[in-house]
Amino acid sequence: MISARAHHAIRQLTRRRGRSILTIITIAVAIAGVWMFAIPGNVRAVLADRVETDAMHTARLAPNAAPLDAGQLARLRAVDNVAALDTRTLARDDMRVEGRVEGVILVGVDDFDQQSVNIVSLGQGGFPEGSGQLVSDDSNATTGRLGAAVGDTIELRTHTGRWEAFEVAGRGGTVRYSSEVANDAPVLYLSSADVQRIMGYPAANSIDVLAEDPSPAAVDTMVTELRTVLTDELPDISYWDVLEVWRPGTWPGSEDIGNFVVVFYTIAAVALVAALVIIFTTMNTIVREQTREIGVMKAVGGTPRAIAVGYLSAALVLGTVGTAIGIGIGIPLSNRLMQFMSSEFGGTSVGWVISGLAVVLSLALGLGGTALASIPAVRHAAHITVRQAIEDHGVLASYGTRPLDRAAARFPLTSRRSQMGIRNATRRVGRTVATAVPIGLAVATLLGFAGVLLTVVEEDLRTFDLEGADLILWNRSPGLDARAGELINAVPEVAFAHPMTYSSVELDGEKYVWGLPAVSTYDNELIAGRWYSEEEDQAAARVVVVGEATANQNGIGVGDVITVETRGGPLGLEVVGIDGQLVNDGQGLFIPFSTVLDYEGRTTGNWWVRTVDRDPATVDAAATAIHETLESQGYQLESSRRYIDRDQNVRENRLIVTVVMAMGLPIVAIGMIGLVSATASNVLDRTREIGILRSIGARRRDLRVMFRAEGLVIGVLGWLMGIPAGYAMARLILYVFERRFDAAFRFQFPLWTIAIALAVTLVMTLVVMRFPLRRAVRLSPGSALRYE
Amino acid sequence: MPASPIISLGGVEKIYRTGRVEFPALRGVDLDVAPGELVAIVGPSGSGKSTVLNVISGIDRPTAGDVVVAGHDLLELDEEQLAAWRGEQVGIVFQFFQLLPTLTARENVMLPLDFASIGSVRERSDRASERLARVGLGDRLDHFPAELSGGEQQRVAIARALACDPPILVADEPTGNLDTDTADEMFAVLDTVNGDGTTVVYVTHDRRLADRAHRIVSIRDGRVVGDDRR
Repeated sequence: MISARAHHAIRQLTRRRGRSILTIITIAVAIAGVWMFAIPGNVRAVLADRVETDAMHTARLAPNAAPLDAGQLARLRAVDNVAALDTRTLARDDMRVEGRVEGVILVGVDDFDQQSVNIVSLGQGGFPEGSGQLVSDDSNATTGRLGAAVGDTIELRTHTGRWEAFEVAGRGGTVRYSSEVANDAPVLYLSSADVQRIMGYPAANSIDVLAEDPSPAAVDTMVTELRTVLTDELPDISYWDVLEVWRPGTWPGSEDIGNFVVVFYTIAAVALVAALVIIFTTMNTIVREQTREIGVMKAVGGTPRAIAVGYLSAALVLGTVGTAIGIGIGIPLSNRLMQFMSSEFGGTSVGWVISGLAVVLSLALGLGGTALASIPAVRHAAHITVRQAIEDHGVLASYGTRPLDRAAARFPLTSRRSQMGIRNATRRVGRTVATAVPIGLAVATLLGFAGVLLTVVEEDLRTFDLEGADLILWNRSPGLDARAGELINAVPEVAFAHPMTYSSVELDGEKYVWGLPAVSTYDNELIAGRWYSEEEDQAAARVVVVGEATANQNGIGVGDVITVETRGGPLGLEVVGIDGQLVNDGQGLFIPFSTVLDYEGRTTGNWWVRTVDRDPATVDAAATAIHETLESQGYQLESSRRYIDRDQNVRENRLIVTVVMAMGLPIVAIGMIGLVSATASNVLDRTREIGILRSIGARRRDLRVMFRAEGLVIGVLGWLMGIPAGYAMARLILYVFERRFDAAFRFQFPLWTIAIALAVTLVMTLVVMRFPLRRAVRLSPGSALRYE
Repeated sequence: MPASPIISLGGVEKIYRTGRVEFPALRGVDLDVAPGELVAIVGPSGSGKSTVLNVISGIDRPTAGDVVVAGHDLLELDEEQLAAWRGEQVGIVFQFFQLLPTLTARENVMLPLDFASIGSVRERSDRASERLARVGLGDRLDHFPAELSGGEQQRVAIARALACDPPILVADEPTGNLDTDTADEMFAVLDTVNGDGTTVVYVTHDRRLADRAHRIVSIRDGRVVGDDRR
């Protein structure tokens, strides 16, 4: 049994079913948003767990060939701090499935039954038994790259050009290599012997090591000792890739997740604030509408406490139902997103997780937040006197006495109906502002995310502009030599061409290296020191120009000598300059072309070409001419036209922008639900007024214009609130990004996004107002006038 | 030969439904009103007198019977047509004034002219000012309702009802919320309006005010039980 007063308050909820449902939906969306908080933590926990169970390597050395016998392996395993060590054979190959040929990554495992590092575990089927069988990575199917089922056949290209058939024996994976699927290509696990045979490799080419003590200093010492042992055992050893080290708490994709965390948290927090504002407005409206009834209850002996408890119960009913639905939506939604994130960033599929923290947060915010947001309304109900309550007419009877009313009255508009709409918006300033706040938050989210993305995308595109090349040319092995350069420079459309080469080194994480001549198409912006000279380039001097972010992160200054880890081992470089451009997020290194060739053990590189007028037609003509010339001389030329790559990049960035904007949609939904709810309340509040207007000749169109004008005022107010809030949000998120990357972005907050936000706000406002307006225009004047 | 009626109700019935409860407000009302008449409708609370006004002004549709007002069969008009028709043919005065609180006195009077798209904005403003002057409020044009007394508000309501020069004015307890002196002033305004040729039908509890009409129609339990012409 519950008391009559609680009954009364709760029955008000069923009396205004539409509004109660809208409030419940709002709470539910916000609570579902709370589950966003759970995602990064859960993904991290699941992947950290996976890193441990799969014994992901702490360090990987990448020798071109490591023909190690059992004794040599034992010596390596005996090095201090080595917990486990296995060799793998890694290769890039082509596969043919149902006539389709595409790239694939092959991971050769010495013995599937005796794995100690990067352990491949099975989801279905079995491990290969002998030659001719393989395991397909689980992520191949979850990412849609390769839906190989157990028993299917996949053909792999051998180094002699033949196709060899393999049967899929099982499906499984290991976190380090599964992560390659989403970023790069499908991954297949075979016996090392099979990989070496089909690729023509003499031995394993990856030494995966799990350290007992993963601290950077201990790992560095361990790696140095391993290199020494390797050089002792294999004096001619050379490396095809730099040392790969995973610091504690990191794994493939952990950084991407970190970048998304701030977006998730922002969305969740904004959704929550918006929902609380709407609950506040709704409860306020409920109490205001029932002011007279509250008076009656007090007149028959209702104490302020009893009345407050009644309304609080009603609020809690809304909160409970909304929370339950929110949790119901939040669990599958967060799990779907978690699966997406862990598979996209960590190459791992996760099972369903129900976060205890998210449940507690949902209950605390859904019930506690609702109660909190209801307090002002409940206090009003408790403290209003019987006389005030009984005499309440539900509308502000003193309109015209405030300066705001006078200001609104002077607003220049020819249509009386529009004027009435605007004045009605100023009639209840509190409600108008409360309705505008969630819209403002929605606008802020859209503008904020747009600002962040445009800034990041712009930086991305600037890389193309700074690079300054219109064509990038490379030759399948061995490379484009000086003679090729002469032929390229002889093409009339070519204004300037120079060789260059890419490389990567380890310097507190992998850093991209551009090996450029002293004069190149690259548009540097030195903030300290100088660029290296032509003499230094010719002499393959050990000098480097460091990107600003890398310099800041590592405390590098001009004149310092830094040691980077190349695939051939450590290399000392003198820092001659710091470059302020944000190429490669300011993380890049610029080393003379000849120096890079030298430490990479190469003789040739790519060529960057600047055409005479940089027009796409000229670039196409130059590409055609260069291809014809070089191919006639026996070169197997490949080229990339940068205007096409740039367009492709723009398209990809647009997709990312769209996805992130879509993540902000729940907040927009909450804002619009708030508007529907407020308009519905307005229509109810002014039902008698609608009756009067109908009585003196107002047609449906007139009512629509009136209410729409009011809605548009609220929309514009929300938009105005959203501009500074969105600016602040973008600044805050970018500040977090800048701290993460130690980079300085050129902040973008263009006016056109603000204009688009206005257009979207106005259109959405008009669309969502259709529903509550229907009731207003369909009311017959008689029922409207009799409405209590 | 008597003029043909401007208002003609024939066998009008009206049943209100609230949830599962039915309430018969009118049970077969026949009433003809000639142009230029000043008619008072009297009766106890709940007798159906306000419903008669609502049916005449097209605010409520009868459950049965015929309603012809100002030459229009109201049953043939839909809600949109009725709204437009009402704006031009019937002025309505409510008991609680029912002015729009966000509009000044002049704007309240201009509103029916706006809805009917009569004249230019300037002409509407002039006409509204003239109507307000006619009811003695020429100096209160730009006051909001909250700045006017009860009597002044009701005069604005009458000016609004007369804005489009309707041939019929209906008033539901127009003096119900006013003191005796103000009520008398109000009635004097209605009398003047009627003297100018407008047919006036008003509902009142006040026998004293009813006695000032040309004709008193008594309603009880949804039926006309008396029709006293003077």
